[in-house]
Amino acid sequence: MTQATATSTPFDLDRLAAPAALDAGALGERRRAALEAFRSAGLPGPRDEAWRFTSLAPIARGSFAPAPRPDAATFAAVERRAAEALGAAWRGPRLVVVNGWAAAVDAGDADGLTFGGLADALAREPALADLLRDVAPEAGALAALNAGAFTDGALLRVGPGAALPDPVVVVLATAAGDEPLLALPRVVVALERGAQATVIELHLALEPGATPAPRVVHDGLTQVHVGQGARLDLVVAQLQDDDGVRVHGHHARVERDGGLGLTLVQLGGRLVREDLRLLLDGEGAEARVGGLYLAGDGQHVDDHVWMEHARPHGTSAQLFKGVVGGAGRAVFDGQVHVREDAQKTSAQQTNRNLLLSPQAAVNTNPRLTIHADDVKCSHGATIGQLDEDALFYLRARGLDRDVARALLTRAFAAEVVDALPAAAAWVGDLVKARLTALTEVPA
Amino acid sequence: MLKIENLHATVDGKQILRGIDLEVGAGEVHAIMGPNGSGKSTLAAVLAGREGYEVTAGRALYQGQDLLALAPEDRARQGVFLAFQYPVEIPGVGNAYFMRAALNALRKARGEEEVDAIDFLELIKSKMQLLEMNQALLSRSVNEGFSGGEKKRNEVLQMLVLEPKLAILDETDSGLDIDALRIVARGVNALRGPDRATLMVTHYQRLLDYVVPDRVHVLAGGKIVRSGGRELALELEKTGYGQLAGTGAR
Repeated sequence: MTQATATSTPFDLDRLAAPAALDAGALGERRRAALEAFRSAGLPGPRDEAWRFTSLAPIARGSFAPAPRPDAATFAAVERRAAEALGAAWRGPRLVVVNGWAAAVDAGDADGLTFGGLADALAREPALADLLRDVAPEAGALAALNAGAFTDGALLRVGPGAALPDPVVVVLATAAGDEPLLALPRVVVALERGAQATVIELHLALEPGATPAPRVVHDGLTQVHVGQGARLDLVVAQLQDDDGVRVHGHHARVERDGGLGLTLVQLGGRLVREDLRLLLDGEGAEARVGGLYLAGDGQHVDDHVWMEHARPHGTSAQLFKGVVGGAGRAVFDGQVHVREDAQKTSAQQTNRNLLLSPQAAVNTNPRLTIHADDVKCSHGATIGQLDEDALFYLRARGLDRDVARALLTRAFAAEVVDALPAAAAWVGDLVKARLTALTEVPA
Repeated sequence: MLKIENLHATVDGKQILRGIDLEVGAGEVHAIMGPNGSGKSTLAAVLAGREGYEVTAGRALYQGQDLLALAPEDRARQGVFLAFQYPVEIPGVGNAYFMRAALNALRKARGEEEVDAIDFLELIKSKMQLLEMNQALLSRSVNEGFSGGEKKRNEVLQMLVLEPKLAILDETDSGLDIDALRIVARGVNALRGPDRATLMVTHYQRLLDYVVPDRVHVLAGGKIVRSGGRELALELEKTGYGQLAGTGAR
């Protein structure tokens, strides 16, 4: 194998084109360095520890061109889909990003809120580039690709002490084009000292149906900064997407006494991969993470979580639940890492999986690495089926087998769904509908 | 109401029921007594349709139709109710929600209108009063964190809500103190009527002081070895099951 083929990728990187504001000055230099890192690493393969159970083979032999800015009709169609999904919650500050490009924004007029398309914001106020942090090499090659080549996205900053009255909605959509596309959106969420906000990030594909080969590869990255004493509730909802390949990272840093509540709900897709990297970087920082992933026939969902406690008195709690039906497949890989300085850390990680069929499969791998000696940490994982005794109990009271299965499956997911903030109650309805479909068994 | 003929059943290939014959008429209450391992709970499970039990011979007719051919939910919809010996905890499913769903499943099957949440709440609260139950149990998950006595009362509560034609009580009295037993019995008696029947599976004579049976049957070795009136239970209380179990084995 020659050097050239070892680093070849399915992405046509010669055609990358981003707004000028992104390639200028120090940011431009950082982008070029990150892109170089991706070029030398290439697409992750089965030898990469982080990709052992998730194969990128479906895109490895394709050819994906950097997505151009979509036309107005496409933006409008995505907006309709989003409005339909959110219902009454489709109000307040909101922004639609399609294939990595931002539409015009409804920024609202909340005090302390800076919100808009990322490229626009950086063109207007170059100093905002400081909010974009470099991506650590451990975050992987696809994070480096986003760092080196993101086209646009959303930027949201909440000033010191400001509390947003309404949730902010960012839609990250993909839309197929004439040729296979690569979408590279970047979202930046920064809460300054004492700020408070609820942010909803909605992932959807404009044409979610299954196609023979992926038509869009989404390689996105959301960087989150929770300042001292700030509080962010972040809901990430991924609607079913059997069309494309969706790889997204959420990298968050929480400062002293800051709090991050994150709920990640994935309804499934051809290949959905999440890399959650949380750094508790101040004393008393807190992160509460709830995750629910669903996968049915032909779907593959993979969540990788890295929770790092860097300072004392931090608290983290993670609850990830998976429901896998048909011949679906899910992967959970969770690592809690407690640094030597992070005494009095309390960290908890739980992963529970429900298999609805004999063909469904889950790989789970929760891990703890502790370098401090005065900490309280626990973790655990389970994989199981619906409780036969409970099923019989419900049926003995007159409930149909399918109804009983759906009820028990919803009950399994309830722990995560019920913890959603009120502004994201609509996510619960989508989960319910999807679970009912997953539990139906052909007679 | 219920007619069981020569019923044989196996669990994991092991013969448990070896030819049960039993007839329970409308308006009657029958008690099935017997030592541990005699097949009492197996009989209840087979009648309710639990999986894992194989009927190898015989039949059970309920209101003239083949009960064993029906799915568990269809048995329930036609008026058969099993009060579980060990009620199942179902985290995440609200107790009130569950009972209303069950009631509505039955009503729907009978072509009746569904009961809305408000009417249901009124209905269930009156039944809970009769059973001296804490209404906080309504908002908890089904049986989750309930004490043993609360679970048994919750079974009887479901029975009162669903108003079955044939109620099968599988050791509903075990583990209850005398006050709880009296309350549970009150619930069972509340449902006695000319068009209903009750089959009580029990290990102890005690329950029969409060729910007076029309007939008492002794099950041993998978067969009914003796049947009689209420006095049979009192006799058993004195002599124990020892000799009878021997009878069954012969």
